[in-house]
Amino acid sequence: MLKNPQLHADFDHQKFEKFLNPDKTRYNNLDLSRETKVEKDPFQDLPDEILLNIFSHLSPYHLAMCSFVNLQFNDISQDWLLWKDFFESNLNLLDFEDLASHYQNKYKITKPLGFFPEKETQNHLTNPNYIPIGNNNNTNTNNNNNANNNNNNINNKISQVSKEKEKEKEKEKQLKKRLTEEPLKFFIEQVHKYQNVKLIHERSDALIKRRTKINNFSRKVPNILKETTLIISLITSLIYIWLKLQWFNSSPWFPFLLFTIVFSVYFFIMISYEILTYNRLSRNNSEGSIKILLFILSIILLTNFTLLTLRLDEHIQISYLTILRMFFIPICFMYFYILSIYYLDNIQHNINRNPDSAVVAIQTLVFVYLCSFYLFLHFVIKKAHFDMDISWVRVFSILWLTNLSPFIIIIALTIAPFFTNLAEQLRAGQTEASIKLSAGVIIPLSILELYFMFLFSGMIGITIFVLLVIGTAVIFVLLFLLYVKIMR
Amino acid sequence: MTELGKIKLVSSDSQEFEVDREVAAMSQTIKNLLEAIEDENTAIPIENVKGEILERVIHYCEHHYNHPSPKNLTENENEYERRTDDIEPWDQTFCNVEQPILFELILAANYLDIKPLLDVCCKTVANLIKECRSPEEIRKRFKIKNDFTKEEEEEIRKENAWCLDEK
Repeated sequence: MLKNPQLHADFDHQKFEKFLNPDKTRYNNLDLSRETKVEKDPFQDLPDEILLNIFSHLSPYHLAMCSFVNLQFNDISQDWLLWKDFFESNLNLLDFEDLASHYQNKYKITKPLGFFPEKETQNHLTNPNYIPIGNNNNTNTNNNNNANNNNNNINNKISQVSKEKEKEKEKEKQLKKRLTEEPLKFFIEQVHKYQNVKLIHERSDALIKRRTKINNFSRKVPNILKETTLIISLITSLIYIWLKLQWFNSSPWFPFLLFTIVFSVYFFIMISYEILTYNRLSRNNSEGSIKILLFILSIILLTNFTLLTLRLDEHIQISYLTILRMFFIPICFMYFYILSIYYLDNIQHNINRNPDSAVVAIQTLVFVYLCSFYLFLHFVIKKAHFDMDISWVRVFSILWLTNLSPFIIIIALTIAPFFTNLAEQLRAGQTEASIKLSAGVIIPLSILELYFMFLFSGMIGITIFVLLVIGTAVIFVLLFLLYVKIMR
Repeated sequence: MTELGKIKLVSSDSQEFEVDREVAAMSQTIKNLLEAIEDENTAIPIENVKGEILERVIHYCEHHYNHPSPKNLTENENEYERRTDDIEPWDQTFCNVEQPILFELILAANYLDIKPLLDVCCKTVANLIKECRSPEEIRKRFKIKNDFTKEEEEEIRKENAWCLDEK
């Protein structure tokens, strides 16, 4: 037993006695019948991986406790695998924030990716204002000292500041070293500051509640966004109609441009939001994948519209109104339809997995296809009744072009489950799946767009196409980088 | 001669058990063995497992072959959850055995490579550990020797009063 307790000024003899001679009465509640026949330590025969399996079911608190049982337990309980999950999944827990941010940084791509901005974490390693938990008293006294030092001359101040900085740097180094080398000890140190076990449990309960609150809030945010965008799109539609009535004859491009801008801005905001709230994306990524798909789809439809308009203008006399209606109606319908589905599904918490989002996407595309078919009929009726000067070849080519993209996406989505299975095999969540799904849509589409561009259009079309290809390439690269980021 | 579709397992203490081929195949080890053996009548020796334990393991396999447990679909990998309270009632009674037997079951499950059995036993042990409120209790319950040196123990005690002091 301990020979020199005097070495420690703050030594608590009572506690130590208690530790050496634990209160026997506390074992009365235990089921002793199970232990009567045990002669030797049963854990010694167990291979390490089984012990790891057992320990993987323990909370950090019990793990820490186990580390004090004997050398074997101590050794196993330090295993990084046991702590990894805890550190990684508690990124939202405020009290472990300093600890967690370290590990968060560890799994981050350190080079800025350009499109993905570095997230600014309030890291104690970088934040000079960081106050370690439980050290409030020390910092207060430091502040008091600083206040007294205000009377000293500036040189002293500067040297003090630089000294303090050096000290801080050293501390940081030590902290960093400990964090990476001894996660358990660091954790225990953190927990130690709470002073007693009961408090830890209360704290963790409170933290879990807080986390669910944060989650609920994050769920509400996109709903608000959706509601506002629904209203915005309604207003836009009304403005569009009004503008159409007012200025259509003089400036046919204006309403179209307005609509395009509003539409694109909305998707841009949504996608940026997904990327910025990266954690949420990986948790509930089907939302993200739907948005990515919608984003791509909208770009395709709008581009087709532009190309068709350019092309039709040269060859045949169809009013811009007809063309606008032709494209505007399906896009609008699709937009409202997907928003309503998305909204309802979110309420039911049904969109949690990729297959669901794929189903929703397929439903949407089928809907778009039906809209286009309706427009085709519309053309036919118009031709029959009003004897418009449209050749049948043109009508079919319009139909073809309108429906081409959705068809390809449907094919891609049929193949997508294979990718999804692959992702499941990799056990890396569903995000990759959705990214692959989107990427699998982009590549064949860009190739086909190329083909039709050269088939139908002149220089302007080619320019637009080149821009489109560059855009899709950029999106693809970014998605791939996101995929790499997740896989790491 | 064994019946059709049945195989014979021999424990380390030479007890023989006749088991359905498919039940026995729940053990990955036996499954691999069966694929390698051509003669169906060969008795398979399970060297590392005593008859008493093997009987229990077979009992477990038979029950779970006849009552396959539904997979937990609500499993959320992102959430930090280490659940040990999701053991099925049947498994709970199955694991409610004396400690030496429980640990031998773990070893047998590990040797025979029966993952659900291994998991359930490990969860049970984890639960036993969770019932304890101090390292001393854990030592007492499992008859573990404290093999820390005095210096180590002192260091631990100094650093971790929070854990050793239950109040």
